[in-house]
Amino acid sequence: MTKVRSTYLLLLAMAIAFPYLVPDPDFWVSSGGSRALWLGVTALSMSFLNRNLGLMSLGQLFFSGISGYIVAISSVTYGVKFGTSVPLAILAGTLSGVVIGFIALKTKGVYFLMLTLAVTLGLYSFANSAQEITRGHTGINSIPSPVIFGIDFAYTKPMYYLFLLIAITIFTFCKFLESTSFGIALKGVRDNEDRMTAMGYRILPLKMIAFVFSALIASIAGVMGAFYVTNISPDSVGLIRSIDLLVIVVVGGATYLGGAFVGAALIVVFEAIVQDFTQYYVAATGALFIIVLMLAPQGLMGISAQFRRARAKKLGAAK
Amino acid sequence: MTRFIFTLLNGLTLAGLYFLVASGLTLIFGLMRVINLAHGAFYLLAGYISWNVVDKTDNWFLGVLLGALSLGIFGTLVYLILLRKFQYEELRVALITLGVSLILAQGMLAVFGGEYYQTSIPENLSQSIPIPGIEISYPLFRILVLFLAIIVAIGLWLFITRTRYGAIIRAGVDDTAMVSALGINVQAVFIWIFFLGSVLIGFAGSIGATTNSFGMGTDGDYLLFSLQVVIIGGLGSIGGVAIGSFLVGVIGQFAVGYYPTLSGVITFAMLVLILAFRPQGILGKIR
Amino acid sequence: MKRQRIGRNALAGVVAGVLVAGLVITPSSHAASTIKIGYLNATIGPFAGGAPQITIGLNIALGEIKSKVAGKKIVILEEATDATPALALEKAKKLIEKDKVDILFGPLSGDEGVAIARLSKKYPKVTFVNTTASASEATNREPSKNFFRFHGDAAQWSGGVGEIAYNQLGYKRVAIIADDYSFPYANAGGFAKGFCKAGGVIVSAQWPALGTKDYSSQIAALPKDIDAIYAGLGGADAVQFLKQANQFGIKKPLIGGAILVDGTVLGAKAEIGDAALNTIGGGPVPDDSYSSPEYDKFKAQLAAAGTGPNIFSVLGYISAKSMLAGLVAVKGDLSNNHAKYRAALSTLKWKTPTGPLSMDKNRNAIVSNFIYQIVSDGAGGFKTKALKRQDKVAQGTAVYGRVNSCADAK
Repeated sequence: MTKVRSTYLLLLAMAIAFPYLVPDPDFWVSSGGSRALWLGVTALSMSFLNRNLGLMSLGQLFFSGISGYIVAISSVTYGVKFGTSVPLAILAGTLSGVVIGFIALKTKGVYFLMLTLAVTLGLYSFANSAQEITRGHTGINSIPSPVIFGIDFAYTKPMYYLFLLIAITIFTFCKFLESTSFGIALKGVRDNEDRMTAMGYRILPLKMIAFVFSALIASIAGVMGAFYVTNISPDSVGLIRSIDLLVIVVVGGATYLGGAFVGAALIVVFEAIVQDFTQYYVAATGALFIIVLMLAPQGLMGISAQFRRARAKKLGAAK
Repeated sequence: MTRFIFTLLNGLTLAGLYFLVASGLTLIFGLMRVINLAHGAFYLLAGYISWNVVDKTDNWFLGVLLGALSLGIFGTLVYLILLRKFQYEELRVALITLGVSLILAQGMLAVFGGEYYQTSIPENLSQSIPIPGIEISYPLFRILVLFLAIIVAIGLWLFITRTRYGAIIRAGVDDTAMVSALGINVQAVFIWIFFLGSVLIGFAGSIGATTNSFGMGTDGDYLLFSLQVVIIGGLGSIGGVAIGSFLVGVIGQFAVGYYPTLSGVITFAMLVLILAFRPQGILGKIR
Repeated sequence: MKRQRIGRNALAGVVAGVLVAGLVITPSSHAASTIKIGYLNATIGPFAGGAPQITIGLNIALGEIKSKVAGKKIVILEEATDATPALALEKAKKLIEKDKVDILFGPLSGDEGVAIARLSKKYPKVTFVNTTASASEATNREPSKNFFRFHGDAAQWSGGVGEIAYNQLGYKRVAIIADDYSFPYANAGGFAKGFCKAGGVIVSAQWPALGTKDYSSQIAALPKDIDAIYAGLGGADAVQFLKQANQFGIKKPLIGGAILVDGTVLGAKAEIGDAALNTIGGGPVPDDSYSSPEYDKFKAQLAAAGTGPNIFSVLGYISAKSMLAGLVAVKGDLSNNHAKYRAALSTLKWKTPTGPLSMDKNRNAIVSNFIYQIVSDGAGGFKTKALKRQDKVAQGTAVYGRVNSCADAK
């Protein structure tokens, strides 16, 4: 166990020292580090759901989008201070999870994937057409960043460390949640619903709590995104963004919590390098995605386990 | 009144196009449990191919034929190379096809550019016909699309329920081992289904390229339309696709015509409402 | 258990390795003998057809000074956007923070323009020169000291059109159909302001989403008791609308938003029929018969590059030429946070191919506007015929939203 913990500590130390280690810190800390953390938290909400309920959701951007738009509208259009606008946004995003969960949790597998994708694309068309509220295709610009104790989080390093703190807190809480009896019951539901029903568990409330919790994470990520990009527009919740997120989750490892961050860091670096060679870097991302799906469906985090299994199989066959 | 009839006609003809688009998706899923989320990209690719053929040869029918056939071949290749190995893992297949759609979208952008195209309607089909009771005339071609959709619907239904091939296909899906034991090559049957489904989307793309302009982003739009259609109607059922197309097409057009700013939301609200009562869609089976 | 630990460490190693490799492979250098210009252009997306025309304009302007100012070489670093504000912001940050550009040239479309103008406040050390984005609020709301636009906004592009529609052509009642984003808002706003003041009435307005493919329902919803339709649609959408209007036999004359009557649409591959005939419109590009020494020279340069005047090539050239003229005036001196350079840009005056240009206090240009009509060229195609040239059109103070009636256009 200590070895595992030391790995985490090593990664943590690297993350903290990151802004002082990279060349071009202006670029890499913000467009590399902060971006990866924001995407990572969004992806985490997706892998939490996949890991604990066995459901692959493309609806996380819906929750992010709701909270992002509410931060943007309240702070830019109505001048609400972030102390009010941020909790309001996160609350609204989380509550929207109850509504969507009520419909989506009746379905499973591919249906769930399709339904959640349709939900996100529904928000996209709403954001595009409800010009009076969302300013349509233009979107909302100049979203102000919070200032706490005189620290302006618009600056590169404060924003990075704020995002790092948020990411670590959420990650740790997810880990904790999974170790509670609630977390164990969830895994039971994922593996065999009928058995859990027979054991006297009420399935839907369990699923609903997990789903709403993932909506909470996605809503927090939505606020992070609004502050990071300083703009929100319908494209922030479009099809390409949804697939991007899916790529991060799958490439990192959809059944590992840490996979979200591994995937996010990898994709951010991958795109930064590839786009120096071609403007069609999204195609390269797609190819990477397919290769991972075909060869290593458990993602990068799962590669060592996959090798171990393959070797055990070989050894077993040899005997 | 004119506006009402006009909007209704728009909705109906659009529903016809949606049916053509979604029927391939639902055919493949209904018979093979494979969902192709590169469906929108397939549609767009067929549009580009048929447009180019018509542009070079001035023969619209040849363009539609080649658009449909080349997509059939392309789809079969995607199935053989990327999907067949994982055919029984629904989610993995769906995700791989999403990756395919990303690559296709960018590839088409690189090859054909971001401009919008529209295939010319053949000369003898391009006139408008007067509609009794209203003042404006209506393009003949759009009405033909509606009839085409109805013909395809009946044809598919007969093929699946009334022919020997249909029986083999239905049996092969339910019990692969049993059908194989009878000496029928189930793998070959699956390849043919995928081919047929891809031909359908290629056909829809070639027709759609004539009724509406197409270009970058069209793939996402039509993926969304077909998802709405099959989610509402029920995945895997030809009748469900017909109902779904009707609802999405007609209600969507009335929304656009009468409440343009709310149009996106109205279709979406309909989808949520239907799912709240029938999560499997109107004609979908509970699995 | 032991193996699992090794796995985790290996994984951490791989992640760290990839990160470090990424950082090392993409170095950035900054030599004092060059001036770096970051160039944002929407080459992927709905404006992909027009975007290369801006590059042609830029290259002509660069060619005129052989890409050198006072011995310093001018380096262009291009990034592709897809006309969405989010990607434009991301790419702008990349050009500024990673490539360390001195000047940012771009973007193309209105929504990107607003986002970039707002972003410019965050980077006071970089000078921003707009290419063709024409939403009003980029310069007349919270103007940014380091953001310059060397052409008119979309409302300026409509200068004089409304008056001509009412007084000269006798249109009294007009329905609006226009793309739903900032550029057509301003374009239609500029038209409606003049039209309503002259006595006209806006009967109805429809705002389909950008990229709408099927306009049939909007065409059906057009009221019957109108004299003309104002169509504020650009590029791809315009082609589609014109084609369908033609198919449905719309007989009402059109008033075009600036981008409807541009050459990009007239030369469109899809057939648009006679629906476009007699359309009037206004914009920054003169009609085919216009001639001046500067314009004739520029036309020859464009012809040598294989194209002709259109909104993108004309504005691309004028914007680039203005940006470079400022550099030439201060001999490439960008010291003291570009103080001299910006002073030169703020007071820039020159005779552009399309008429005299000067700058207002918000760093938006005061320019000439052209009003024209589409007529048959006698050989099955279209051409534009001049109605009027309006000089010294300056930016107004309004930021238009959807103009649904005359009350919205004051």
